[in-house]
Formats: sequence, C-alpha cells, structure tokens
Amino acid sequence: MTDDQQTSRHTGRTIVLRALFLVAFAGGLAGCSTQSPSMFQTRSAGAHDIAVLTYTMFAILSLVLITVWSLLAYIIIRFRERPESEASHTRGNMTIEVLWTAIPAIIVAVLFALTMQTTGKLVGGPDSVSLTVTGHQWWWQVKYAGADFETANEIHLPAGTAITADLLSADVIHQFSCPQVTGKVQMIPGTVNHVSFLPITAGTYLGVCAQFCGVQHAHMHFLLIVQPPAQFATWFKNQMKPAVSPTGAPAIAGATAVAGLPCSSCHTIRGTSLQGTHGPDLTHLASRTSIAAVTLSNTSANLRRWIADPNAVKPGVLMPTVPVTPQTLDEIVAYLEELK
Amino acid sequence: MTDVTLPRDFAYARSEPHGLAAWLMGTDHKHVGLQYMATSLVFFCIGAAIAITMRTQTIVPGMKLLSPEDYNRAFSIHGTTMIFLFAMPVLIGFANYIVPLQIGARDMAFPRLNALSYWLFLFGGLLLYSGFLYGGVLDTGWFSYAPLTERAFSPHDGVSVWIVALTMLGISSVAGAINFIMTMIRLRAPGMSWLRMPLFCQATFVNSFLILFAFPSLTAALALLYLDRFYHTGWYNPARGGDPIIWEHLFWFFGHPEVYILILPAFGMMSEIVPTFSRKPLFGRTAMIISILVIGFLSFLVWAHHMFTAGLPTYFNTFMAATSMLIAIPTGVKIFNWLATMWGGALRFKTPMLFACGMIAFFTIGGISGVLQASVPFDWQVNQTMFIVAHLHNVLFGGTAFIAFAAVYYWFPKMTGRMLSDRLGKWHFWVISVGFLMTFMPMYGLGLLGMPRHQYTYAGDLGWSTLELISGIGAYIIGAGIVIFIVNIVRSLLAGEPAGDDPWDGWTLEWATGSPPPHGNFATLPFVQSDLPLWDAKHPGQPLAHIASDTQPVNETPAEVAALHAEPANADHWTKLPLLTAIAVLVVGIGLLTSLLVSALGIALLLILAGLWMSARWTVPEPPVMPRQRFTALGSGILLLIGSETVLFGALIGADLHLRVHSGLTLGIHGRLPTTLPIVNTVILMTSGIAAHYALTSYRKGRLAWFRAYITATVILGIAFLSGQIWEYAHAGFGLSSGLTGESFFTLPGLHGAHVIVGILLLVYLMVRAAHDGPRRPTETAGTAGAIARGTGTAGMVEAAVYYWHFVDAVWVVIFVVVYLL
Repeated sequence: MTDDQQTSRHTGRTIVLRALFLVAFAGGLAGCSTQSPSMFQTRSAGAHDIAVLTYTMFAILSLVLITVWSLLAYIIIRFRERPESEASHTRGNMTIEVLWTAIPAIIVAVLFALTMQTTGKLVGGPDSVSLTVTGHQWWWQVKYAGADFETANEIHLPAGTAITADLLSADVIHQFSCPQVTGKVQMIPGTVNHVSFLPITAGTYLGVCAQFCGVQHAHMHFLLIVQPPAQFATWFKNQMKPAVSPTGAPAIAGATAVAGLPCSSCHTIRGTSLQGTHGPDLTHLASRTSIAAVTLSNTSANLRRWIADPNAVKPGVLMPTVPVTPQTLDEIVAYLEELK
Repeated sequence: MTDVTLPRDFAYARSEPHGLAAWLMGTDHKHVGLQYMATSLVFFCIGAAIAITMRTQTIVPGMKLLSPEDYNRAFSIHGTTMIFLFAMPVLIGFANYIVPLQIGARDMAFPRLNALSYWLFLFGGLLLYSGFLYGGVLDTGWFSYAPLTERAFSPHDGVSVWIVALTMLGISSVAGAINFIMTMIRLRAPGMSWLRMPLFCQATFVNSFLILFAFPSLTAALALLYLDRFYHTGWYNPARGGDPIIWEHLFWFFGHPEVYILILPAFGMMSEIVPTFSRKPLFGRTAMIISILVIGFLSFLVWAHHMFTAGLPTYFNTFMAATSMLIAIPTGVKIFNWLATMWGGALRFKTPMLFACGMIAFFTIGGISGVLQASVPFDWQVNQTMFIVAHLHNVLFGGTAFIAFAAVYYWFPKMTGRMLSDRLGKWHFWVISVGFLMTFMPMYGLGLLGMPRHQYTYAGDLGWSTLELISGIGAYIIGAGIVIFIVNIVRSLLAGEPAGDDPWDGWTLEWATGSPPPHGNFATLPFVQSDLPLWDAKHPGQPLAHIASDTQPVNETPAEVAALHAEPANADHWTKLPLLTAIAVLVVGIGLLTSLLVSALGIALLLILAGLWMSARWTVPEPPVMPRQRFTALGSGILLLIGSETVLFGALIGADLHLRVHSGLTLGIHGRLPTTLPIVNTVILMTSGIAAHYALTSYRKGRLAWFRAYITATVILGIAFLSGQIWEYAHAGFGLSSGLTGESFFTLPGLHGAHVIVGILLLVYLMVRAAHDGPRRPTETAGTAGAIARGTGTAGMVEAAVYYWHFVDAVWVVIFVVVYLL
C-alpha cells in the first residue's frame, strides 16, 4: 500500500466531491481546525480510502435528500388547500411504486458495492505484529515487538511502514480510535483484536478512547506520533535504554524518595527498584509531551499538580494521592524531568 | 364461567368509583391509555431536563456544572428514560386508546392484563428513579457494556436497580404485546378483514411481534448480568471463562429491534394523519403494509451493525451491512408514499400536519445518516462518536417525538373532547424545529471531527467548541418548545374549544363515537365494508376504489352488527387486582436487590393474587358471539408467550454454547455430570407430557373424570421430575459460582425448573377448579366447543396450561441435550 497513488495528492474527482461536501457542511465544519482528530484530515492510506468512500456515498445520498426535500417543498406550496381544491382519490400507481422501490434498491446496491470495495482494501495487513496496545482505566499501555521496553499514552511509529497492532484490555471494553490514521477497533478483555494501518505523513495525531469505560473515559486520550524513519529509530533506541541516573542533588533526593514511596507498587522505572505494573511505565517520562493520558502537557507545574492530587485533575482516577511535603514533591519532579 | 363466590367488594367494583380510586382500579383501554400517555409525558419532561443539564455541562470546555460521575449518571438515565419511560409507553398509550376504537372493539382482549402492564411500567420507572435517593443510579450508559457493569468496576447499586427496573418494564411490554395481538386477531368488528384494519393498527400488530421476540434477549442479558453481580458467576468475566461480547450480542439483538419498536407505531400514526390532512386516502396502502412487515422482519437481522468495530469476522460484518442497507428500502418507500398521498390533495396545515411534514423533512436526514453508518468503513470512523448521537436523536426526536407531538394534537380532541390551540401548536412546532436542528445537526459535524460520545468535558483546542456551543443553545430552544406544548395542554384541558365527535372529518372508526367515547365505545357500529368505514358512511354510494384484496364479504346484516355491539350490561371495568399484582412484582424485584426473603414474600403474594385473578367472576366487555377461532383466547395468548420464552431460552442456550465452545468445556456424558438420573427424569417428564395431552383431549370431549385423572397424573409426574432435579442439585458437588460448569448446570436447568414449578402450580389450580366445576355446569361440560369458542373460563385455562406444559417439555429436551450430552 505504499504506492504513490495513495499519497495525499488528491485526484480530480476527489477534489470535486470534497468541495461539494465542504459546501454542504460549511456551517458544520466552521469550527474545524487542524487540531481536530477529523476523519477527513487523512494521514494514512486507509483513512484516505474511507474518506473517499464517504464523499462518494454522501454525494449520492445528498441527491436523495434533496429530491425528498424538493418534492416536499413543491407539494406544500402547490397542493395547499384552496377554496377550489378538490383532492383526487388515487390510491396507488403500480409504475411509480415499482420505480421508487427499484431506484432506492439500485442506490443501495451501489453503496453496498462501494462499501465492499473499500472494506476489501482495508482488511489485511502485515501478519507480524509490531505493537501491542493494552487499554486500562484510563491510560494506554504500549509495547513494541522485539523490545523489552514499555511506554504509555504515546505511540511512535515510522512513516511509510505498514503495521499491525494487537489490541487488548486489562479491565473493561475500551476502543482504539485515531481517525486520521485508522478506523476504530474495540479492545475487549479476554480477546485479542487487531488493527492494521499504514501511516504516511509525519505528525502528531490525537487518539481517543471511543467506548465508554468509566468515570474518566473523557480523559483517556493518546498521541500517535508518526516520524521519519531515522527519527523513529533514534527514539526507539533511546527508549530501549534503562532510566537515566539522576544528576544534581534535588533529582537524587527525588529518586530516593520515589523508591521509598508507594509509587513503586504501580510504576516501573527500568534500572531502578521500581517494578510496578499497574500504572504507566515512567522510564522515559520526560521524553513525552503530555501526562495523564494527554490530559495535561508535560511541564514542571503540571507534574507537580498531578502528583500532588491526581483526583483534582481526573476525579475518580485510580492513582492515589500520596501525601508528600512540598520539598519532596519538588525533588520528585526534578527527578522525573531528568528521565528523558 | 365459574361461580366461585368471593367477597363482593374485595377486588371488583360494580358502581363506578371516582377520583383516586378510579385512577387505581380502571381497566378500560381508554383509561389505561391515558395513564400511559400522562406518565410518559412526565418522564419526557424529566428526560429533557436531564438532557438540557448535560448540554449545559458541555456547552463550553472545562465546565464544572456536573462532576464526571453525575454526567455519566445523567446520560445513562436520560437514555433509559427517553427510550423505556417515554417513547415506548407513549406509543403504547396511543395504541391502547386508539386501536380498539379503530377496529370497532369494546376494549382490549385482556383488560386486566392491560392495566397490569401500565402499573408495571410505572413501578419500574419509579424503581429506577428511587436510586437517586440512595446512590443507586445507573452510570454506565443506556446500553451498559459488560464488564464495566460487573461489581468489580461498578460496585454501587445503580446497575442492579437498572436490571430489575428494566426486567419489570420488559414484562410489562411483553404482556402488552400479547394483548394487542390477541385484540386484533379476535375483536375486529364484522367486515373488518385484516387488510381493512387501519395502518396504525397494522403497525401496532407487527410491532407487538417485535416486542415479543426482542425483549427476551434483553431479559437474558440482564439475567446473566444479575447472576454475575449477585452470585459470582462469570458470564461476562473473561477471568472466569466468560466473554463480554455475549452482552453485546444479546443486548443488540434486543436493541436494534427496540429502535424499530420505537418507530413502527409512529409510522402507523403518520399513515393516519397525512391522509386526513391531505383529504386524500393513503397512497400505496398495500405497499405500506408490506413495508411494515419487511422492516419488522429485517430488524432482527441487522443487530451487529452496532458491533462493526468488535473484531467479528468480515463475512459477518458484510452480511449485517447488507441487511442494514436493505432496511432503508422499505423505509424510503414509506416516505415516498406519504409524499404521494399529499400529492394532488388539498393540504390543511393544522398542527398535526406541520409535525408530519417536519418529520418527513427531518427523519429523512436521519435515515440517510443511518445508511451511511451501515457502510462498515464509515462506521469504523464514526462509531461511538457524536455522529451516532446525532443520528439516533435525528430519528428518535425528528421521527418518533415529532410524530408523537402530531398524534397528541390529532387525538387529544377525541380523548378529552377539547381542541388544543392551533396557534400555540404552530409556535410549538417552529420553536422545537429550530431547537431540534440547532441541537442535533452540529453533532454530525462533531462526530466527523472525531469527538467521541459520553464526554463530560473536552479540551478547548480540538475544534469542537463552536459546534458544542450551538448545540447547547439549541437545547434550551427545545426546552422552550416543550414549555409551549405543556402550556397548550394545560390551557386546553381547562378551557379548550369543544371538539365534537369528528373535528378533522376523519375516515376511521374512532371518529364515529363520542369525544371521549363512553365505556363500551360504540352504541351502534358503522357497517365496515372497506378500509375507510367513515368515508363510506359519509359518502354513501361513492365508495373509494377498493384495494385489490379488499373484497371480504360481510356475513351479518347491519342490524345484526348493531345488535352484536350492545355492551353486556354487567361488563366489568374496575378492579384492584392489576395494581396489587404490580405491587407484588415490585416486592419480588426489591427482594432481588436486597434479600431473597422479601422476594419469597412477593411470590407468595403473587400466588394469592393469581388465584384471585383466575377464580373471580370477570365479565369482559366483549360481544357474546365471537368469530370462529381455532384456539381459545387464553390458549392463543399462551402460545404467544411461548414464542417469547423460546427466544429467552434460545438466548441463554446460545450464550452458554458460545462460552463452552470458546473454552472447550464439555459437561454431560463427556464431562463431570452423571447422566442416569437425568435420563430417568427426562422419561418422567415426557410421560407427563403425554398425560397432559390426553387431559386436554378428554376435556374437549367432555370426559371430565378422565380429564381429572390425567391432570393428576401430570402433576404427580411433574413433582417427581422436580424432586429428581432438586436431588441432583443438592448432590452436584459444585455451585453456581464454581465456574462455567456451575453456571451452565444451574442456570439453564434452573430456569427450566422455575418454569416447571409454575406449570405445576397451574395444573394444581386446574385440578381444584375442575373439581369445583364439574357437577355444577352440565351445559358447560357437554358443550365444551361453545366454551372453547368463548375462550373464557376453565376451557381457556386448560388449553393454556397444557400448551405451557408442552413447551416446558420441549425446552427440556433441548436443555438435556445441551447440558448433559454435549
């Protein structure tokens, strides 16, 4: 699926359909910004195929809608009761009734054929799995094949390579959703589902959990970061390394603190005594752009705010509040910021 | 009918009660219909208030009006309320009021059961809302996927209360469905053939079959969830061999027909309203009836379009996509037929017609978004986004609610004798149309822009804020429209313009009697010779072109027809029994949430009330001579119930087999269970079935002594079977919560055993009643054909009980194979 036809260069037909579509939705998409995880801001072959299918189906069905509305409008005006009105008694007309059954049937057949065609392009992908994503209440656990590191809430991928991901759940049903790159797939505990896609364009794309999974479902986002292969390789190599040793007094004090606090019962920092598995891996926390499943950006202030009282940020979150003095908190944050 | 003597005033009232007593004891279909409609309107307002609060919470990012817990409760209760406590009951309420009138009947086939359906609905709704008093409020969504609803993830009582409340509502609905089907089969006026029944009745008839076959799937899903939550089984828990996907299948096998249950009667209403206000008969009537049947049938074959993202095999998704797209064809046919009805008419734009036209304009958008969603790849992008929310509200609000509004304006004059204000009605229409568009059209955009549903808040930099703002403002405009509607109703009830019998110059039978109609509905019934009897009455000698199959000859003369429809002088309309029975069911339900002792008390009450119900003298307001019928009313009713129960057992067996195949677990002769006793037990049960069969044939031939002997034999064999089961359970060596083996073993035969107990109780009752009957009613026994034809009294009960027993036997054969041989 890496042939040039499938790049973001649009064909003439797609441009026309897209224009029609945007005209119709002009008002609706007024709020559109490049930051929306919109299914039309396609960044993969598959998403592009779905978008094209959508434009086509929408164009056909719009004609149906416009027909119905036009008829209704005409009828309302033309057949309004007037003193001289005399309603006819016609009860049926075989020809018309056959036509308005057959024509929708043909339309449905066409839509179905287009659907099958696109579905055929979307199923299938590499047999070997590059990625395992496990949904938790309310964060994403990410593991790469052939590597023993884990990360959370950020998925890096190289542009131009088709991947297949295993999708699991540790608790309830979640749904992996990143519309710019792929269709959604449910993550069902006890089952392994798969998703395959080919990301093309480098960039950062918002993913969401799209199946109600509890009180903080609204704050279970992830970032899909597609990078040029060389950059991805660099990132990957870095992730494989164990945690950076702390430098500077505050960070060293922070490292000691986290080792002694309940943090270790949930989190892992590879190369230290923290080997917990209930919460996100923090080995390279400072290399991520956001924390708390893309609820907060990864800054000192936010780290401090999050650790001091996770419940204030995400009410109902499973991370407990560990009481620490402000100084200890500073030290912990200093340590975490060094974990690049 | 028997002459069992009861304390006179205990359960029945001869003279008309007033005030609260009348509200509590009425069984007249018009009374029950009004109860349904009034109650559903109250729930509609509550559901709308919740919705407006939700929309306010999301009107700007980061709003802190509702906590996430409260928001999640809000959308869960909003959905449950609007679907189960507003949309279904309001349509059932209209059907209750209008269907008997439109077919020229005096009342429903089972008036007491009708009232019971209402009380179960009310108590189910109150139970659901009682949760607000003690923190037991559903917060997992109206379709509540497992395992989020398991105790581990939802420890509070909200899910449990929801389970019991919905089960009560399910019983209410299935009972109502049986009632409607039997009413339309048996109580049509002479000359009213099947095809001459008005479209609203046709739609209600088909709809009742959907209810009958869809609700058991929900009951099964809820029952398994109840077992998981209260008895530590693992039906939906993968750690215990369960599979969450079973919930999805069982729920959506119910859930998709459910949404057609919410629209089909409304389509029927459209087919009444549009012709009346076009002054033109319905165009394509036969096609309209066929399309209802096709939609009803297909609705059972599309459920997995709610599960396109669940990872099911491609061929399965493909099939479901095909059926989901196909169902658009009969729906489109309906829209075109309504337009063709209006074409060439003389359109009167009173409020009902405004809403009808609004429905055509708006529902079509929803239908189109539905076809889009049927396309698997597109659904892979919009599944669980605001696009789906837009679609469902588009069809339920722009479809069902708009038609419900139209129906209120149309039939309010018939029900109250007063007109609603047309001026306020127009305000209502325009305000609510603007509100509807503003609230729900932006949601399509939000879904395409990637916004998921069930979000209590969202970030401001995702491009969703403008559309959310517009949608939020729209919700308030809807609220304003609802206020105008309520004001209109209140003002019109107090001082509306008198309506007369026929304010719209209608052509169906409900306009041929008073507004409101008296008990018994018709003093004299118009002679029915076509599908538009009032047209014929108003235009003698100018019949409309008959539709092709409309050539049913009428055997009775007009005078005979009029004589038939004198209501029996002693017809009963008032009884406490339905209310008391519903209270007993509520007690059982509360016991399921608290302590089984309470449930036992409830069951004891039910048994007493059942005895009273079946023994008491109750004169149904039916004409004395019935058309030829193969089965009795009770017998036919039980057959319908059996149809429903078949789906219930099928769903549970399906769930069990899914898990057993999944886990490779065998029971029975290959597994852990000894099979000698079950085989003996099976022989005992089959023999009891033979005895039951001969009991029925003996009764029909009037041989009462043989009848009593065979019934006794059936009961003894049934008790022997049960004893064997109890012995087996006690010596099983494992329990309900011991994993899949325990689940299969105790759930399936357990539910079957409960049915056996009910069957035995019915048969014992028959033994007692037959003993009481025998020597005192020689004409009844000799002429059992007549008794059967009337479908009342012992004859009906014998048939019902024996069919039920045969069903219990048949299910056992399947369960025996599934549990002991596989």
